[in-house]
Amino acid sequence: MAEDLLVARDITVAYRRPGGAETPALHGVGIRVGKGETVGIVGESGSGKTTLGRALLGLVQPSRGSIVFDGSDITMLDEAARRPLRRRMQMIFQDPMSSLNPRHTIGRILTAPILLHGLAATPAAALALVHDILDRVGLVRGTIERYSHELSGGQRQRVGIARAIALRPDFVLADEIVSGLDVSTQAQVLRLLQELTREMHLALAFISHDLSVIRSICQRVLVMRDGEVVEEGPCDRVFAAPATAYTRMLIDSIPLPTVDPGWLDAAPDLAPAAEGAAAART
Amino acid sequence: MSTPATPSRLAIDMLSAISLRDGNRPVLRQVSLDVGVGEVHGLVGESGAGKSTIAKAILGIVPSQVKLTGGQIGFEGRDLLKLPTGELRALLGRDIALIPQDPSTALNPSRRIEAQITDGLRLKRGMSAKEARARAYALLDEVQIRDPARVLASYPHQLSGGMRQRVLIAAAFGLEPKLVIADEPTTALDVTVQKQILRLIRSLQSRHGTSVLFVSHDLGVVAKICDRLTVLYMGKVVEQGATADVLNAPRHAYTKALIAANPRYDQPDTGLEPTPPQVIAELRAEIASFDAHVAQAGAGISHG
Amino acid sequence: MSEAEAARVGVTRADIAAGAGPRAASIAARLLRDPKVVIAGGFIVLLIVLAIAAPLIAPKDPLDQNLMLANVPPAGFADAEPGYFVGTDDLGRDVLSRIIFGTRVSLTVAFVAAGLACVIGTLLGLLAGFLGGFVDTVISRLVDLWMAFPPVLLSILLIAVIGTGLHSVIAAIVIIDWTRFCRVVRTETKSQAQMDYVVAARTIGFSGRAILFREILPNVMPVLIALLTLEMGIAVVVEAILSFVGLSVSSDTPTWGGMIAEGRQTVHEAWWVLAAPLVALFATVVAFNQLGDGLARSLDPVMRR
Repeated sequence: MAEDLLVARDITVAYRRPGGAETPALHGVGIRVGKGETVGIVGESGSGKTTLGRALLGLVQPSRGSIVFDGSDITMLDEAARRPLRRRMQMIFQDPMSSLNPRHTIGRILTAPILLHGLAATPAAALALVHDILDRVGLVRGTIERYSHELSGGQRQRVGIARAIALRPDFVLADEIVSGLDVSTQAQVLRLLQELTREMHLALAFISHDLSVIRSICQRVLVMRDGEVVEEGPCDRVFAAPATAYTRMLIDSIPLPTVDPGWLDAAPDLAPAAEGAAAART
Repeated sequence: MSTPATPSRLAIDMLSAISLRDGNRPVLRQVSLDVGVGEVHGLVGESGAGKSTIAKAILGIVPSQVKLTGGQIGFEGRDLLKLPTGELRALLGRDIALIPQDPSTALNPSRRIEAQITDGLRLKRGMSAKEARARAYALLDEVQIRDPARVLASYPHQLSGGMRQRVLIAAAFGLEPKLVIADEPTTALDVTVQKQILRLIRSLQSRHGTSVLFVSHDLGVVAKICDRLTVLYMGKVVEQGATADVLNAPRHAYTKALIAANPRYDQPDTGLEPTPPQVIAELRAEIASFDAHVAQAGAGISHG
Repeated sequence: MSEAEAARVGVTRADIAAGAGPRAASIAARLLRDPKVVIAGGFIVLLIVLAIAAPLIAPKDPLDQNLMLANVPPAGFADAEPGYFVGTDDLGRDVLSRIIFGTRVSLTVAFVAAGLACVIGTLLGLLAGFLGGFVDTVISRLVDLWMAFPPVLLSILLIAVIGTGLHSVIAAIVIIDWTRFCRVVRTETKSQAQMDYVVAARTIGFSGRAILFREILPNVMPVLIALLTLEMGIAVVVEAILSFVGLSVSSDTPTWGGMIAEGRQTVHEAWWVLAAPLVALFATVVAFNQLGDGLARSLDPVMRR
């Protein structure tokens, strides 16, 4: 059991709508990520998974609950107090097109955080660090002169990963980072991420709507629905024997690349018949 | 090219196209495929493989920077590429329908659902307003929408993504077309909704005997709904055949790699195998020599 | 694909030397490659030269009256006088020289008035769009209120209070047009502030000010440049209108608007007196717009592709 790095309890986030009515985006949600551990957060749209991620990074203020990072309570910190913490908690975004400033060169995007946090004293030193990182994520060094629109989707996502690890954080939040990618590019990105988390002993919270992707790199998984945690546990256990009907329904709705005439007829909103479920999983 | 089990409804033969903006780079390389009557045929490939170009060629909406340079699209004994615009337009919506990829942009946000469905019915089937309204109600019922009257009176933004897609499916099948082109119809949907939509398409299709050309990048989806598959890479057909054959015993290395790259929730440590550069290199070499042969043949013809 | 590429490409020392972002020399080179920038920019530079060196370049004194040579047609027409290339007006003053001296007023207004309106409006727009909340409400209400006043009435009122003159014209333009910048910049800033790269900057720990000026402003620039050059054209026209109605500089100084007012009265006898300032006005406005277009295109990495 990995030592805890990030522990969130009873997180409640409410959005105030223009009419004044409050809609709960998160309801008493708790999550635990150990050092060097990869935890998946899965849910369909409206499940609150993105909001949870943002709350963990302090981008959204919870109205209730606590977030403890490496032993200190960081829930109520203001921006100034949070700044030193920023280096240790980073994020990779879903759409690298909008998460990379279109009018900054890649070199500028990657050197700026390094210089801000004092990991290098001069631009030249920062650039040397950036070269190492680019090598590590599999991008050519000439990338520093490019703009994001000149890169492919896979390359942009690698830049996003490079930016997140440049500060050598302890914790990274990956928010739907492979959703728009081809399956081959997705495999490359996932493998890279897995290698990096092992090398750097990174704690990773991996948000996705795709359970198969979660299975490939996560040790534990949190299933969310309508702002609440429905089920939580080690991947092996949850996938082999889901404890709730919702999780079971989610799993059975995933089409595997095998021909299975009975699959379509097994209704997703009923508990699937035993043989149907077993056949789908073999 | 493998042949379907039933007589052919759509026969694409040696379809070729180039991109005018990219220095005449080939976008489609003599693609041939056959969709039989009542068959669901999957068109699979990664982005940029040319799947949507083929769909657009059938519908006659190829963008101006793409030029079709050869081949034919046989439908009901006629070549769609040679049809005059008026006849093609008459076919579309009546004999060939489209289920688009993104339900939120495919519906007009400022018109109610009823108007959008009845438009087609009245135009293509000559129904009166009353008949069309009744038929629209029946169609929504057929796609298992629980409160058709409310949905008909709604605007698109008042409905969920899954609901909107059902409406689009109802509109597509409502005219009893012979061929439906489904362009990644479940990509924008949650996975549970996706399963319901796939089931719906399958049941409507088998009930009406409609042929479906199902475009997708998702091997799992096509595995569950398609009878036969065509695997595309850079505009060239790489593999073709019955779904079970292609997925269980793939012949081409690219197909094998594509299957291996897919993560499976029932097998940990899958989905981390990108397509080996070796396979890509060989495939590109194949395509390069194919292009060379085509160029030679073209030069040969012009010389003599 | 990138693994193979990485294997094939060696490390070059040049990469390390390359700073982040383009350098001045390469910017200049890129600008000079765009025909719009060269032609329109060249024209504006010509105007600036004319304005600065007017006394040296103008063939005659613009105020010099010579009733013997009134209404002389431009060179090439019958009865033309040598030395008066665009002819004379009904007081015998050289039209060309008056046009040249007129550039002083027009350009001063173009650069100063448009520039000030831009700076004020942009600052307020950035703050409103980025900070939102109370600041945004206050600024937006202010803009709404301000824009409710009829601009022509406001300028006349203003000039009536502080008197005529170039400073009044500039003040009038700035006071009315800053709202145009504020509105557009606010909208653009708001939409940029929603983007993930701003969220990314927050997670990295950049301060609000750094985010606003380093991250967001470059993405607002294209719109800003377009608006600024548009405003320059507008300023020139507004000055012409105000001097047409006699509310601009004193009648000693030649202005294009003043020339239009005078030329209007003698259009049948001496059409060139009206035509010359009209052409000058038109050409200047077009040049500003095209320059803005060309600049945005050449300088913006996104639009360059």
